[in-house]
Order: sequence, then structure tokens, then C-alpha cells
Amino acid sequence: MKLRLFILPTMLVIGTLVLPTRLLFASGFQINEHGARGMAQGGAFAARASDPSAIFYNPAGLGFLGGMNIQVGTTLFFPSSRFRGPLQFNTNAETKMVNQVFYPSTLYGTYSMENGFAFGLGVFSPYGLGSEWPSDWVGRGIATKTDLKTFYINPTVAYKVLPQLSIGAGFDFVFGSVVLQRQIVNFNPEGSLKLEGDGTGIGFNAGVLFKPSELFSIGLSYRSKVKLDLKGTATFTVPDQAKPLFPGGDVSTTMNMPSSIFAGLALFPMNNLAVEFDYQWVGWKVYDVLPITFSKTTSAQQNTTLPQDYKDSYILRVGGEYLYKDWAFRAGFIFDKTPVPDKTLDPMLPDADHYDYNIGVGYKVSQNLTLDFAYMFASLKQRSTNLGDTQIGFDGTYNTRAHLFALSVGYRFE
Amino acid sequence: MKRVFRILASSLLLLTLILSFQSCEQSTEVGKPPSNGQANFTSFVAIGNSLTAGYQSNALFQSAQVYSFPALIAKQAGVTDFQQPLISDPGIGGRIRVTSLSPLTFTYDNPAGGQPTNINLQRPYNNLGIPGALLWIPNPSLAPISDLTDTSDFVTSPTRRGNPFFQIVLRNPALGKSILQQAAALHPTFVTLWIGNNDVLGYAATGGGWVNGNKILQPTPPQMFSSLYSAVAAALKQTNPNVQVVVANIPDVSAIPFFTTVPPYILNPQTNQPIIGDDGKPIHWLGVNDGDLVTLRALPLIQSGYGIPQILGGNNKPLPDSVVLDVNEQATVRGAITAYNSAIASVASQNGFALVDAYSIMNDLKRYGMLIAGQEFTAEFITGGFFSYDGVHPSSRGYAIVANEFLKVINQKWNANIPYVDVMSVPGEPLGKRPSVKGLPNIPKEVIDRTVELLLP
Repeated sequence: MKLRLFILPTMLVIGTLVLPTRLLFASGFQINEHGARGMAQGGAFAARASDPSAIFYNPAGLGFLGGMNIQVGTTLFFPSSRFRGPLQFNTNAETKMVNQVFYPSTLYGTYSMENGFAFGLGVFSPYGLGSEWPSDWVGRGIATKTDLKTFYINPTVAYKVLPQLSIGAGFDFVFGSVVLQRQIVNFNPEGSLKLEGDGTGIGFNAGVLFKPSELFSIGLSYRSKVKLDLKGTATFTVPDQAKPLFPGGDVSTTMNMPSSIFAGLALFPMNNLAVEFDYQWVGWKVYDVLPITFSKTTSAQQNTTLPQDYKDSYILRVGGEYLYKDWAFRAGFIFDKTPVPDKTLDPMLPDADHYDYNIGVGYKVSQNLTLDFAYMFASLKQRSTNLGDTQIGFDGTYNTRAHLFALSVGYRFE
Repeated sequence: MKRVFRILASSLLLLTLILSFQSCEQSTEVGKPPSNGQANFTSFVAIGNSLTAGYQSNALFQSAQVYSFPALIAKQAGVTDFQQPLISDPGIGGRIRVTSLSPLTFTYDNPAGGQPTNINLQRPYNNLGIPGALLWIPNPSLAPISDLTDTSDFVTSPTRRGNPFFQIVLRNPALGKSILQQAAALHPTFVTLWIGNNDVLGYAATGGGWVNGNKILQPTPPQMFSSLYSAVAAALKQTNPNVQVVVANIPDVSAIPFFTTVPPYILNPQTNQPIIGDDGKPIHWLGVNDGDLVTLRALPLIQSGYGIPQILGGNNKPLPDSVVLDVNEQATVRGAITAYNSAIASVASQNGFALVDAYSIMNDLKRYGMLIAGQEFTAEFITGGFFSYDGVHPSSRGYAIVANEFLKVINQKWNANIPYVDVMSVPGEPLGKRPSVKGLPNIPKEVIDRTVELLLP
């Protein structure tokens, strides 16, 4: 009894921040906030996956759902980021990133049959990033505005093999778009470059969920890497004298979204309490270069390959949920290791290790309708490179944090 | 069992809670605060030639002078009253502008289009850099006379050596009869000194000392250079025994686009590729041999057919010696520079002056380029970003990079932490690094001639 009273406030005290999916959330440009219920618990949900967002966390969860469900949600993200430097100019002058708000959204629908099969369809954005620096800042020749959006459509199927065991799998149909902007500072007056493109890719996912007793359950899920081939246009704005050398035109690039493995262990120490520990591995090594290929080249407009050299990384998640009447109280914590090495750190994505604090509530409005709300505070570790660490020769200190607010509405059809 | 489980679960959760608080958002101070350390900028004077004045693209004009390296250093060090002999745009000298990149075409502004504006200053300028200034004024009797100390009247001979800048910078003998006298009148506590470039550049830029059809000019003899340099150092110390001085040495000519833009072999004007001869090697211009350096002065001649055999459409006349620096002349130049730099290093060390190794910096720029806060600079003509359109003087950004090299040395020598110039906040050339120029630029003869005249005594 006493223990129970102790745990609840403890969990509530761990505030977690859910951050916007776009910028810097989850390290590299991975977004792991896909449903307010999961988000409130630090995304430690793969071993339970007990709502339609299972489509994202672990498709095998569909096997235990039952009925027909739909869940729609959105997350409002408010990141703030600043840079002090560059060391190349022996200065710690501060530049603040332009404030932006993002709102990645999710939609899940599930349908379970009597024979043990369940089907689902999910629409979500596991990868995205956006950064915008003032157009006159010291690093404007490297990046001003960067925007990457991906959009996954994930039909899944699950099957309850045994009363305690479910397996699931699905396909990812991916749409992506990217915009890269920077100033061309060599000229006076300065010029600018905008590269924009979009494209598609495919992948798959699979998962297993095992509930051997009422005390614990184990979940394992995998989402494959996706190769996105993007095509678009390059637009140069330069003084008249230079125009013939910068015709712009068609441009293409390829981005590799990494594969991801979720492994989770959920414990149910008491009737209304669940606590879960997840380990997520992300195969970021596939994001090694960003090639930019022009259809038309001149002596000035040349194809380039931007090295990224991301490293495989991992995320540690812990979260829990306490049910009380029509309410659910949730909290979680995430440690997310950055895949970006010092060498390729740049203002387009000034990533660092994350420490994310999550908190949230769920409310059962009626037999069929639930509302979930979550709040996350994401705090990135201060990241400094020393003079000469980065390949592009732009070194200094980045500090980033963000606030996220998520809301999901779920409806169960009977 | 359940109880054990509960305890286990809650302990794990507690542990996580405790660990998570270790990582609360951190934001710490970075770096040291800016400070001038022991560097004393109470009275800051810059002495030198066109490089000190902020001369670029063949002219001295206000919108470039504000980016002279001494003015930039003054700004970074918090000096509020750094005065310069500003000349309204388009300045004096004939500023070069690029009107097209493809094909590369230039025009130039009115050479006498500007007026000095800061003329009522009741004291000498802080920036006493005079375009064309020499350490040694060549004279047949080898008298040790220097532009820095010569007190001959610059008022009554306003076109001293045909150079209007002495009058413009020094104005009135009442302010001081020589550059050093005017410097002394300011009671300097901090001095930059960069002199000696023209002592060898006049010889080099004229393809080995050709003046009015005669090969008469030589670089300043090393002994003369050394004794005059020591004398200047002594004179500075006399104005103030504690004066803090930064000197810079002389870069190699082969780092400067004036000498490296025109290749020694013929380029096909259509393809801008070298023409290959029967032996499988590129064909040299007539009058040019392997290893020769061809100066920008060759361009208008090449355009009129010089250096090109008749069968290739030229007039079959060789490029004159005055536009070619052959291997022997290059050796003379290198020998002079080595000797001058040795003298400069010696004087600096004996007097406790700080030294900017411009020679090594320019060589590195030439060999590797420079990556400055994510932007690349090279020693290429037009497109490199470092040099201005005359192929000799840095651009505004180039001067900002020079100022930063001075600041690095100043910070080290006087234990200071002066922030460097934000090179990106200084305007770039109207056309910069990216477009790489194929083929030879089309520069009017008068423009190149004026560049060379400035370097001559």
C-alpha cells in the first residue's frame, strides 16, 4: 500500500518532454513520438503495444487488440536552439535558430477478426528534420533553412499464434521531401541556393509480442531501412555576371533512412501498474553520404557528395502507466545517443545526445472514446567541437531543447 | 513473488529517476572573455604600403579602405579613433570591375574619380600606409634613403615618382616631414609595420626590371634592406621604448595571381585547353620557356597575337621579356625575398617585435586553400576570393583574413583574447570563389599598366 503511494508521485515527478518530430528529435533526424500514450511513457511501449499505435511500436500488438479501432493524433513541437561561435573567428557570439513550430501527426486504424488475425493501417512520420537560421548569420554560406519530411504509410497484419504470443508484419510505403537552402556568400551582393526534391521508397516491418504471465511481457520489433530517391530542382539566385555559370535545373539525391530494432520488457508489479524498459537500436551507419547530382553541370555548378558518416546508435527508454478508474497516469524517460560524429556536425542538424522527460494522462471519456495527452521536455546535451574538429571548418557550441505537447483521440467501434 | 517483483520494479524505476536528474539541461560558459591582454592600443599606428592602406582592384577607395587590415584590427581591439586618409568612391587609381564572367570581361572606373574626404584631421592619420612605398628608394649612388624616413618635400613635388598617394596620406609637412615623423607625432603605443614588398615586386612585375625598354631595375640589395630595416626599428623604439610592434614578412611572388594566372603554354581560345605539340607536350608561347612565369601584362599582347605562331593565327612575334619572369629572374626574386625575410625575422627577434609569417601563410593559401568558417578561399585570380581584381592586392575578405592572422599573433604575444574579424560580414567580391574561370581574362592594357606603375619606384 505504502509502496503504491510512493511510486505514483515518483512517476509523475519524472517529467518528460516530448519533442517535435521534426527537428532533432530522437537523434539524427529520427522521430519517435507517435501517439500520446506511448510518448508519455518515453516511447517504452514495444512490449505492450496495447493501442492502435502498436502499428508503429510493434505490429504484433495488433494481435491482442480486438475490435475495430481508430486513433488520430498530433504533436506540437517547440524547439529552441542556439550556436555560440564560430571558433574560427575566436568568438562566442550567439546565434539563435529561428523559432518554428512543427506538428507531425499520426493516424492508425485497426481491425481484429475472430480467427486471430488483425489488420491495421498507419500513417506517421518517423524521420524528419527542420532547422532555420537567420538569413544573415555567420554560417549562412553553409545552411539557412533545411527541411526534411517523410511520410510512412504502413499496412500491417498480425496473427495471434497462441494465447500468449502474437506476431505481426507490414510494408512501408514512404514519401519524402527535402529542401536545402543556403546563401552563396562569395558574391557581393550575395546569392542564394535552394535545392528541393521529393520521392518515394519502400521498406517493411515485423514484430513479436510474448505475454507469458500477468507479471511481464516481452516485445521485439524491427523496421527496415528505406532508400529514398529524391528528385527536384536547384534554383540559384546570383548576380547577372554569374548567371550563365549557375543555370540550376534538375537535381537528385538519395537518402537512406536507417533500420530500427525495438526490444522491450514490460513488468506488471500490481494490478493497475505497468513499467517498461526498452532498448532501441538504430542502424544509422547507412546514412553515410548525401550525394547531390545536377543534370546540367558547368565549371561552377558541380556535383558534390556531402559526407555524413553517421554511426549506429541506440535509445534507452523507461516508462510506466498507472490506471485509476477512468484515468491513466503516465511518465517516462529517454536517453537517446546521437549518431552524428563531431567530424560531420553542422548547422543543418546540430544534433547531440538527448535526455527526454515525459509525462501524460489518458482519460476514458466513454466506453468507446479515449483521450491521451502527453508533454515532453527534451534537453539535448550541450555539444561543443574544438577548432578543427568539423570537416566544414565551422566549430563552436550548440545548445538545444524543446517542448512537445501531444494529443491523441482513440475511438473503438463495437 | 509478486512482492519481490514490485520491489524490483520500483527500485529500477527509482534508479532511473535518480540517473535522469544527473542529466538535467546543462549550459555552461564557453571560452574566455574577450580582452586586449597586455596589448596597448592607446595610440595605434599602421605603417606600410598599399597592403596596409587597403588598396584593392587597382585603386584606393573608401568602401575598401574601411576594410584595410589595420582598420579591422582597430575595430576588433575596441579602438574608436582610428583615422584613415579616406578617398570617396570610386577612388584614385582606376578601380577594376567585372562586367561578365562568360566571357570574362572587365571595365575600370575613372582613375581620378575620387576625392580625399578626411582632410581636416588635425593630426596625422593612424593609417600611414602609402601605396607604392618602398623601404629603399633606388638611387645610383646607393644612398640609404627610405620612403619611411625621407624628408624631401612631398608638397612641392606632388607627383613624387608619379605617385599621388604621398600627398594624400601625408598632406602637410607641419604634421611631420616623413612617414616615421608623422607616426612619431602620434606617440604610438602599438604599431603594425609591413614594408619591403615593392622592393622586389617592382622588379618581378616588370618581368625582371624592365623600365621604358631598358632592363635597369634590381630588387633592393639585401644588405641595404637589412640596414634600413634595422634603422626603422630603432627609430620606432626611439619614439617610445615600450612600443609594441607587429611586423609581417614578404610573400613569395609565385603565390600571387598576377604571376600565376597566365600559363606558360598556349591555350586554344575555343576550348581553353593547352595545344599539344608533336612531342605530346603543350606548346609554349613564343618567347617563353619551361618554368617561366608569365605576368598578367601578357594578356593584351596575347590578344593582339603576340607569342602565337602564325600557323596558329598569331603574329609570330615572341612575348617580350618584360612580361615574362624567367627561371633566372625568379631565382633573383626568391633570393631577395629569402634575404629580406631573414632580416625581418632578425630585427623582430632582436627588438621583441611580433612577426606575422605572411610568406608561409600565402604559400599555404596557394597550396591548400583556406577553409574559413565553412567557406573556401584560394589564391586563384577572380574566383579565389582572397585576391582582388588586380591580381596583386587582397580583396576586402582577403584583408579580413590578413587582419585575423595579425590578431592571432597579437593574442599570442600579448596574452590577449581579441575576437577575430567575422570574415563573412565583410563584403565579398562581385563574383567570388565558385565560378572557375576557363581561359584568359580580357583586361584592358591601361589597367594592368597602372597596377605595375604603382610597384615601380
